[in-house]
Amino acid sequence: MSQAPASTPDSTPAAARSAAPPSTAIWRRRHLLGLEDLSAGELLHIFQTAESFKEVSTRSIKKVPALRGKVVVNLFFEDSTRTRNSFTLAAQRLSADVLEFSAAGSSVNKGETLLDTVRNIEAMGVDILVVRHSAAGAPHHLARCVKGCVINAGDGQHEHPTQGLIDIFTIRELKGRIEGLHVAIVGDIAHSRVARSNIWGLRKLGARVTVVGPTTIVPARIAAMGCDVSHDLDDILPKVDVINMLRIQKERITSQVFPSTEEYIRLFGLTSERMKRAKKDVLVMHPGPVNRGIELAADVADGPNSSILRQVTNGLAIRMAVLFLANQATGVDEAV
Amino acid sequence: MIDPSRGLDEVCDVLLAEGKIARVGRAAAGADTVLDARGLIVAPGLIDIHVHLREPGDEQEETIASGCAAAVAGGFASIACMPNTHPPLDDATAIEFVFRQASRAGLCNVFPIGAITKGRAGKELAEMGQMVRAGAVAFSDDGNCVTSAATMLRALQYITMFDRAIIQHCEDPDLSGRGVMHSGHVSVRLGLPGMPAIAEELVLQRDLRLARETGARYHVAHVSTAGSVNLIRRAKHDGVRATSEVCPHHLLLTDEACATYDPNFKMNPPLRTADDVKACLDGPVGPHGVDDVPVGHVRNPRGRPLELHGLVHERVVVCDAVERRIEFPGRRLDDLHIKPRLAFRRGRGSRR
Repeated sequence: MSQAPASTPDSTPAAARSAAPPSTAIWRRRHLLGLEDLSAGELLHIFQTAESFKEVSTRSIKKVPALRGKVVVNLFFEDSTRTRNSFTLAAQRLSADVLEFSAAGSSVNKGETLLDTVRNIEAMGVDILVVRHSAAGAPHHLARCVKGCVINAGDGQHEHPTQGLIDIFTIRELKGRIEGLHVAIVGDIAHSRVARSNIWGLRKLGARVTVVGPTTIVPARIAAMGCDVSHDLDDILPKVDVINMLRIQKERITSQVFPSTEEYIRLFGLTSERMKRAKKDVLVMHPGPVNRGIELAADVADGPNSSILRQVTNGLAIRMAVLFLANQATGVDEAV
Repeated sequence: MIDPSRGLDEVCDVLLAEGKIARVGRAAAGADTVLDARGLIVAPGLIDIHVHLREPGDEQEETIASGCAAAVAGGFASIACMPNTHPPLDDATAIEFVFRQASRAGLCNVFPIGAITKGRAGKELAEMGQMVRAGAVAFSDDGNCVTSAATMLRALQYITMFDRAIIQHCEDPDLSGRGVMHSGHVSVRLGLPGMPAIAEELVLQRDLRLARETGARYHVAHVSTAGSVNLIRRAKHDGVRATSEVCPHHLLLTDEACATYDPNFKMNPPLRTADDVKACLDGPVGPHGVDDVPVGHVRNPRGRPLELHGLVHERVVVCDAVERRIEFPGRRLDDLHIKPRLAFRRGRGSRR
């Protein structure tokens, strides 16, 4: 980013103020589409940037002018609570103007295509597009067709890069490292974009990942992404440092993939009874929204090992970092 | 000059007189007009047995005239068109309509394929006998699989009266579900719902048993998996009167092409794996003459008009294949000329 002369030193985050990610680490990506594309160095660069933004949230005036005069649009073609609000707040703390778009109630219902909708919104002078869509690849398609930066806020069952970054950032913060850790991801792996982003990111940073769940929703072929596959939670539980419980996404399961919710809880639910098998300092994570009493018992979700709310807090810093870096890359492009 | 019916493959001259080929070989000097075709291939008109012309019903995508123009541009002199129009080609009047429109276009031979069942709904048999009389060359509910074994058995029994083939689009709709690409490690990585190879192979396996039972002629549309190739090879060995076809893109591309999310690579059947491509290239060579045939079937399920794309680009694929036979082992121009004629008993072109 070219240093905005208007920024007072006090209101500029450390990462921007020192302006000194070393030249080799300068962020050059205009879009953030998935963690599959990122190198370990790029992941660490995002984390460093997020750390400096975390401090902003502790101030009495929680705002910096990094994106002043820029417009961020939240293009959500699918429902969201955490991600949407977190992106909105992150953009506002960077002083961007935020435009909220929901497919419901828009001209999408009149048959306008995705590309036409997005091009029309972009024509209003938008710099960064935060996109969530039920179709895998939708943000990739838009990234090829629009001028602005595209941030993937979840595409179908493919990737949810900011959630992956949040989870890994939180593990790093609480465990002090990623390399050498053993992370279990439990649940509906086949339909989970959070799982895919976590697997890519964790593997690049040197963690061991085991995906766990019933054979019908944990495809053996996912091992090609570099993770281990298990169908026995009780066997895996004592071995892992982190356990990331995914939501059982009933709305995505179109055919019966396990006999009953009751049976799922018995085999794969994380109960306090089952927690006794785990390491004492195991980190329990969940990307939300939690189905209390199904994949995660209420007392475990609220217990001492849980980092669920920490993930949400970190979400803001990660999303500020991602918006900041995307905008910075646009600046680099313009300078070239 | 390549003419598979005469085993001709050499650089020579072609003498035309009054719109007909008068002589092939060394032409004596003195022609009125000389066309320099050095570096080009001269061949009899190719035949594509699996084309979608979209008329009647979806003329905004393709008409019989525009499809014929694409065929001619791609070097195809005869095309067989599928009945999945709106309304479908499921009675003699509809078959006659195709002939009339094709004759108005006046560009190439069009051979309509009639529907197996009324409305392509997979329940009641369509009036196949009357469609044969009107000129239908084969029968298919293409795009829809005939999923009921009972209906398929009846269709195969019935068709034995007419010496025509039943063409099946092999796809168990329950197994392929909402899939948009081949089900494999690539679809898992991309988070896209997959269509497993077994959705094609299970229907094929069942149908080959039914074809054997009835002695009917059975043709498999757009074979895409190694398992299917093996099933057909075995069935032929056992004396089943089965033929098959394969699309050029299934000989050249794999599911890795979907990794950019470019919807042009979304098709049905989907692009499969490198092993499947290899099996399709080797082909189900059997003892019974007619083998598999490449066709220009390119179709986007969202309804984009890719037929033209298919026909024109097929020429590129085929010419490339003819020139570089190493990359197309065992497959020659006669795949697009002689074999289709044998499979459907139709197609005009070079005769011995």
